[in-house]
Amino acid sequence: MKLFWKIDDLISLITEWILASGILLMAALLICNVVSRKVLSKSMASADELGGSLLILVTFTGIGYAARKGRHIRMTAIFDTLPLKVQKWLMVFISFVTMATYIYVCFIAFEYIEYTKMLGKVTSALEMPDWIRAVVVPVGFGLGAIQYFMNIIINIKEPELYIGTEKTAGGE
Amino acid sequence: MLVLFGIMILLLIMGFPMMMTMLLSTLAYVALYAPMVQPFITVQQMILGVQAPVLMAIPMFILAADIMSMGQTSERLLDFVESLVGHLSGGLASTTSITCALFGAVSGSTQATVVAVGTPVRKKLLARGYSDSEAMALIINSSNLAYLIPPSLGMIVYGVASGASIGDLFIAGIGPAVVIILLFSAYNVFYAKRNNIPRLPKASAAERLAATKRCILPFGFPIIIMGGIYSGIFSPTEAAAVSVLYAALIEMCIYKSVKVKDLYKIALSTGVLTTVVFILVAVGQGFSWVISYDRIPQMLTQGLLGDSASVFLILLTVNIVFFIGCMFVEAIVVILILTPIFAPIAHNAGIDLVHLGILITMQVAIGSGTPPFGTSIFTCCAIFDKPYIEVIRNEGPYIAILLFACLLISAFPEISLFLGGLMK
Repeated sequence: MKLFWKIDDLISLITEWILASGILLMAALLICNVVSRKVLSKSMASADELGGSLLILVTFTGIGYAARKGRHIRMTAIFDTLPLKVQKWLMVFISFVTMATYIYVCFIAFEYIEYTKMLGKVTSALEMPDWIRAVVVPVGFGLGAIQYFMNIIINIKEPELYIGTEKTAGGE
Repeated sequence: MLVLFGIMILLLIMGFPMMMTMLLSTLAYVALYAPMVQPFITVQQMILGVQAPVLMAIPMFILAADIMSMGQTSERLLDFVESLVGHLSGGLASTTSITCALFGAVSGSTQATVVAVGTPVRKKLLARGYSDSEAMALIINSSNLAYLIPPSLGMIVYGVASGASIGDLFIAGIGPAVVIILLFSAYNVFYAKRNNIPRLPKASAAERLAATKRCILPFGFPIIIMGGIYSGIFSPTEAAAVSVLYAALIEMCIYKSVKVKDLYKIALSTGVLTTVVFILVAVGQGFSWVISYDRIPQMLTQGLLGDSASVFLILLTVNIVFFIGCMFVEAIVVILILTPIFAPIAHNAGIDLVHLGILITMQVAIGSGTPPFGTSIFTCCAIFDKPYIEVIRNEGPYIAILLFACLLISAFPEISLFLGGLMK
């Protein structure tokens, strides 16, 4: 089990790295594109496509990380008024349903990848196979499912309420 | 339709992550009612939802705002506005409204505005004798102006969802924002007079000049964003990228308040926020696909509005629905789900999509600051570590002013449309 948490920490570090460099790369890419379009009056046809791919990457990669940090947006007005015990069980229930849904999305995402592979579509500018961009979807939702699984365990084992494995209801 | 919204609301109340409410209801709908459709179409729609090039403007504006929040931009803006209007009655409160609007103009994000302007200004307001509730009500509602002032993240999402021009939306937001600032300032004067809030000493011409000079660089943002988009030099996405470059140059090279090694941390914070927002955009796309598959807009037009709904009735409905929606749910989600429903209805009735966008953005701004569930209230609770009830105690007059402004703008579309008309 300890090894499991260690791996989880490692994944979280890698995710941080992907998120930060994804954003910085996107900024660099767009800035270069503006400069090249304005100064050299040459537009990089692939800039929009690469940027869009980075956006897809950042969006889906971070699902698990945001869950771990308890950052996903929730409407907690009613949740917060419940007694702690109910909150804890509700949290376990929420985590379980979310985990199950994510696993299902993982599953249909693979189907989708198979399907696009079969169509053999390529993107217009870079001519890379379309399915490559979709790979991040099952990965992201998969990591998300793992986070919610861990959240179930930690909420059952520990006395406090955990929104994400790194965030208790009280604070950080 | 019942299944779709039923599941969504049930999960929402239980405190599920907001993306789950849309994701699960979409999946359930596809599984139950659309046997001809492959479930993986949801995945396809999610990917489709986040790859529109114009959406890249959002993380870029967030990044620029994050860089500026770490730096000195907000304080400099605050000093500048204070030197101009601080000595008037209610001057400090008006300073708050105007600075929030200005910071909205450079950052585009309500949350960033609450943090960057709200934190220093609250201390000043308290020292001046304002109650904490009054200060926070002012900060929340002024910060919500950031929705209306270009570059507004809400408007970008609306533009993508409705097909309206983002540049036109940006410029149309300015008129209403000015109206609201004037109304807020009038109330601030009234409040200050009634509660005998002392005035600040008047700044000398030299002080004003100095404050203006310190602010010249941040004023480049509106020029880049509005000027760039309007003169056709930049697309919204390009303008966003240039403002990142500009923010980095100012804060790192000139003010030297942000270091290169801070960039990683800033980018990470932007990245997490991007994930949180864009996963909503992604599942929202799936959700609105189901909405159009189910022909909900058509059903609603028939059921709710009848065959020949008047423009007034449609606008009223839109205003009410968005206002209520935003009291409960994050603004971007509301825009994503409801725009595909109402934009075609409004368009058919001859309502200008830009004007509709402004009204929707206004409702979003109002709803986010309105109890019981306005999201800005919770931001404020979290940032200032104050109990909920204290944050909302003095909100009444501000919400009343905003609703009044909304009425004005609904009645006189010129307020939002005339600037755009001038440009053409």
